[in-house]
Formats: sequence, C-alpha cells, structure tokens
Amino acid sequence: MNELKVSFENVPSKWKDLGGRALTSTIVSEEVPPTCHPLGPNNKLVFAPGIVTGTSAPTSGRISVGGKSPLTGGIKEANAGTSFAQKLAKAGIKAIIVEGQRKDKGYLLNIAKDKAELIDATPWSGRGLYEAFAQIGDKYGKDIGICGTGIAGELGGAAAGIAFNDIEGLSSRYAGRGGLGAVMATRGLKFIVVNDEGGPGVEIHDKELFKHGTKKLTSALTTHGVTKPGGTLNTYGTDALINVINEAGALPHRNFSLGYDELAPLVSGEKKAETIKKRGGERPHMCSPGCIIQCSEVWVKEGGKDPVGVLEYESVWALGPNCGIYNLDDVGELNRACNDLGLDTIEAGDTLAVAMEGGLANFGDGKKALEMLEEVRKKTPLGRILANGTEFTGKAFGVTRIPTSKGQGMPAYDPRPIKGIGVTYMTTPMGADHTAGYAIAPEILGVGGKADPLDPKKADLSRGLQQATALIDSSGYCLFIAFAILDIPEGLEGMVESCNAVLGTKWTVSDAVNYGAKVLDIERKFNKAAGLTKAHDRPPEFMRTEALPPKNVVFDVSDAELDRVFPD
Amino acid sequence: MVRVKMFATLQDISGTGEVDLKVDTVLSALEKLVTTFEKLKPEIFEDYRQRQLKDKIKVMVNGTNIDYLAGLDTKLIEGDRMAVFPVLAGG
Repeated sequence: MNELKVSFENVPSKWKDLGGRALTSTIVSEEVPPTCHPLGPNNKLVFAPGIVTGTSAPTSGRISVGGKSPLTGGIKEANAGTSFAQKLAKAGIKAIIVEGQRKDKGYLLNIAKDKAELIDATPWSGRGLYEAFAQIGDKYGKDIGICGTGIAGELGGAAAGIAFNDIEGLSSRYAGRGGLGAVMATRGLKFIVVNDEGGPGVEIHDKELFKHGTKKLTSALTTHGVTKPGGTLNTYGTDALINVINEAGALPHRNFSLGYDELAPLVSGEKKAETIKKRGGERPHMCSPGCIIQCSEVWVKEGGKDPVGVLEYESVWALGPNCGIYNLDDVGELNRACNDLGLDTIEAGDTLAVAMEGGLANFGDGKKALEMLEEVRKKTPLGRILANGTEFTGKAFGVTRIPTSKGQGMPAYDPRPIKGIGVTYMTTPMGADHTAGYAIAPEILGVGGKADPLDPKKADLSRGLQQATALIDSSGYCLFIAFAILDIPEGLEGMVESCNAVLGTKWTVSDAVNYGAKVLDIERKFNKAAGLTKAHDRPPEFMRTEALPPKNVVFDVSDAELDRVFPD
Repeated sequence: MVRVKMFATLQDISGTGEVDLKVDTVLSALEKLVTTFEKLKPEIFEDYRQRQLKDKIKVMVNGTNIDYLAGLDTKLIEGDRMAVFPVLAGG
C-alpha cells in the first residue's frame, strides 16, 4: 500500500494444498512479525477463499480473512459466507495479501480480468456501508463482489469487522471478529471489488471424484434434520437457538449476570420467522449462491421496508438479551447500525452491555443503545472507546464483569453451565469464539454425539472439535455442514473427497483431521511468539467466583484440564 | 401444575407455545401432550407403543436434559418447567 502497487504472483508450491484459514494463517505466520503492532506498518491482511469455494460444491461460499488481531494480540482468522468469496475464486485468485500502509486516504482495490488497480475511495470514506455498497454497486455493476471496512475501522477500532455483500448487495455478511476491519483501514484499504467475468474458474483435478464426493455431501445435508430443506436452520434460522439455550439456563442476559429470562422468546427464531412472514421480508434465504441449508433471511421494518439483512442468533443475543433488550425492532436497528458502521455484532453487543453496567445506559434501553453506537459514527471520544470493544470499554468505565477471553468478547453461551464451549473459548488461538470448536452441538443439541454440559472434563472434546473446525474453515464449506457430517459418516467422506478432487490429493478422513491440527499448531506458535501464554487461556475471574443463576454454577474446569487441550 | 413448553416445529404443529398439565413424570406429560395434540405424536415418538422417543428430541426439566436425570421416568412436581425441542441447531 505504501507505493499503491498491485502485482500478481504465482502460488508457491508449498501453499498449493492450502485454502481458507489454512492459507491465511500460514501466510500470516510466515510473513507477519508476531510482536508487531496490529495497526502498524508490519501487519498484513490476507483474504483467501476456501479449497472448494467457487466450484459447484454445496454450501461452500466462504472466505477467510487473516492477520494479527488488534483485539487479541494474536493471530486471527474470521470468515464469512458471501458471493465475494466465489467470485474471487472464479477469478483465479487464491489469496490477496495486503501489505504496507498508506495514510493519506482510503483506497478501493478493483479486481477484474487480468487487472487489479487501486482507486481513490474518498467518495465512500466516512460513509455508512449500506450507502457505500449501493453506490459502489451502481458504479462497478451489480454482478460483483464487494468487501469493505466502515467508520469503526477508520477509527482503528478493535471491534471493527470486515463487511461483504449479501445476495442483495447489502453490507450484511461479516468476517466480524477480532478487529480485522481496523487492520484493513489502517493499511489504507477501504474496499475491494471483484468481477469474475472471463475468469478461469476453479480447476478440478478429478471431476468424477468431485461429482461423487459432492453427491454424498449433498445427500447428508438434504437428509439431516438440522440442515435439510424445511429443517430447523432453513425454517427458523440460527436464532432458533435462543429458546433452547435460554431453557438450558445458559443464555447470557444483562452482561452475563443471568442465564434465563422468560422474555427471551420475544426475540427467538420462531418469533422472528413469524414476523418476517407477516412483514414481507425473506426467509429462508441464501447468504451465497449454491447453499442448500439457506439459514439466512432478510429482516425488514414494519411494512416490509428498509431491509437489514440477516439477524443471526449471535447478533440477536448480543444486541438483545445481553443488553436486556427483548424487542426485535430495537435489535434490528442495532444490527443495522453495526452493519452500517462496520462493527462486529458480538463485540458491539458485549461492549454495549458492559457500558450499560458501567452506567452509560439502563439495561433494556434500546434507544439509548442506538445513540451510543451513533457516537462511533460521529467519531467522538465515547465512540472511539466503544469501537475498541468489550475489554477496553470495561476498563474505561471501571467494570469488573468483563466477559472476554484473550480480549475478545464472549459469544452467546455462558460457559458456566456449558463447560465444553468454555474450554473452547479459553483455549482456541482466536480468543472467545464459539465457532472455533462448537461444543454446544454435543452438549446441548445432541448432534455429533452427546456430552453432559456440566461435566468439566472437556479437553478432548474441545480439541477434537477445534481440529475439525480448522479443517472446515480451510475447505471453504460453511461450518454448518458439521451438523450433518458429524452424524452421517458418508457426508464427511464426501466432503474430504471433494477437497481431494479439487487439489489432486489423496487424503483420508484421518489425514484431513490432521490437516486441521496442523493449522492450529501454526496459529498457536504465532501466538506464543506474540507473547501469549497459558495465563491467556484462563477465564475472567468473575466466572470462577460468581455463580450464574438459575443453575447457580461457576466455571469449574480446572487449569490443568484447560492446559490438557494443547499440551506443549 | 407443570408448565410444558414446546418450541420450533412443535410449536407450529400444536399451534401453542405452552400448556399447563397435571402430571407426575416426563412420560406422563408427553403422553398427555400427544393425546391433546395428536399431530405431535410422530414428531415426538419414534415408536409410541414402545414409548421410544424420536432421535434428537430434547426434553429438559428445569433446564436439565432428561438424559442426565432419570429419562422418561424423571419425576415432576408442582411448579416444574418442562421444555420439548425437536432437532435443531444454529450458532
């Protein structure tokens, strides 16, 4: 970015079999000094579609973004489902590496057939992303992929995510976590546009095997009760979890002070699906072309106006019950503000809840919460504090109940009554991240086996899930295929076969899991060199000492058990 | 009375989110539920004669899965809260 130069390089043979998270984490570990300042000149930002992304493989429109995180101080991979990923892959691009720093203004990287150029993005800087994406779409054509960082990123806020277009072109699909939006903005890069017209597409080494593998995976996805058409994800979206996690006493309310509230059904997936139907929004809906599951949706205001995009479970929880807000319209507007400002909804919700506990607003005051987010747009000192996330805001306002791990706000499951997800929060190289090893599946949902949520012996479960997740995050498939392939072995075989078909490899299922383990190893080595130690794999103190009602349990997984996940 | 809540497809099929039942075990509650809402029977039971639940149906009593209590024989007392979920996931 220093010289505003763009160049194409052939993919080194050592990276040939890598995609998605495996590729971003490998490049970051090889090229970014672990002790660099995440917003300084030596950090890099890497975009990489998954191995099968851009092919006809089902539910595979994922892109990974990697860099050193300003939120955790460690390596970060965040991913999103978006047609941008498929277009990048079809354009024949395995990764974009953004390096150097340009401070004069923000730029737009325009990628088209045999062309990549940096253009002045001043017209869209300092603007909301809904407006910016619409104007960029008008200028560059509707059939393009768009990615961007918003005002929160321009502030260098560690809560800033990276937005991608949904099917409608809205800025609603996010690689949200870890502050990568701030890394992008501080490189001087505001937007990327990709047009895959005339691109070479994704080469498939063994077309017969690809057909065979994707057929097996498709069969699993269309059979399993969670992922099939008319299944729960398709009918209610991810927000179907609100009621089950609330009933389990593990839905964090009012900044992780309570695990159950009878008001939770007011923001449930059931309620939301019913409201969308009445208002004329869209449900089900694809986040990217070729998805079988179709868990997405388009939330709209009364009268079918002003589409927001999807209200995911994590977003609804973070901006809803965690802030004592049980009104879907308030949640919808808060989610709209996050999408517009370029804020990660989980981090924003945790931040608002901590701010409420710090006395900036009453729990439940949706209007005041929205006003607080508008401080980010105005770039006020308060806005700058909030844009830096949960831990920073907690410290600014003297709050001690700060639900973070490695500085990253915890997602929608309190780890006190569900121990396995807590083990993942504490030990993943990513900071608190449910998707890093989704122990909720066996602990609560009975998917992929069964495990007692209150049993504190969860090191083996979390490690296995983290390895499998690192593989899926690299494959380009959506993590939600896991619900089907954990229960249907042929689906897992099909997934591995489709990767072999694209890469020309001969992985067994066991090799594929080892691939995930190697990705974790690379990430952990980076974190160690960055200064993260076992002390960073510990819960916040209040989770050890404050029992969470109504189950009245603390996080009682021992330090030894946490350290057993990744023994050195 | 025991408050029995139903979620997701079970809510749609029964047309109600919750009912209050005078029952003393989880099994008797489910029997009463499928008697009252006949269409729920194939959604909850794999084999009603054997009283075998469908795979992945989740039943919680006061927030605890009955798999970690006494299963279908789990006792219910006045004021208990029971929740029934079909297969679901998210994240």
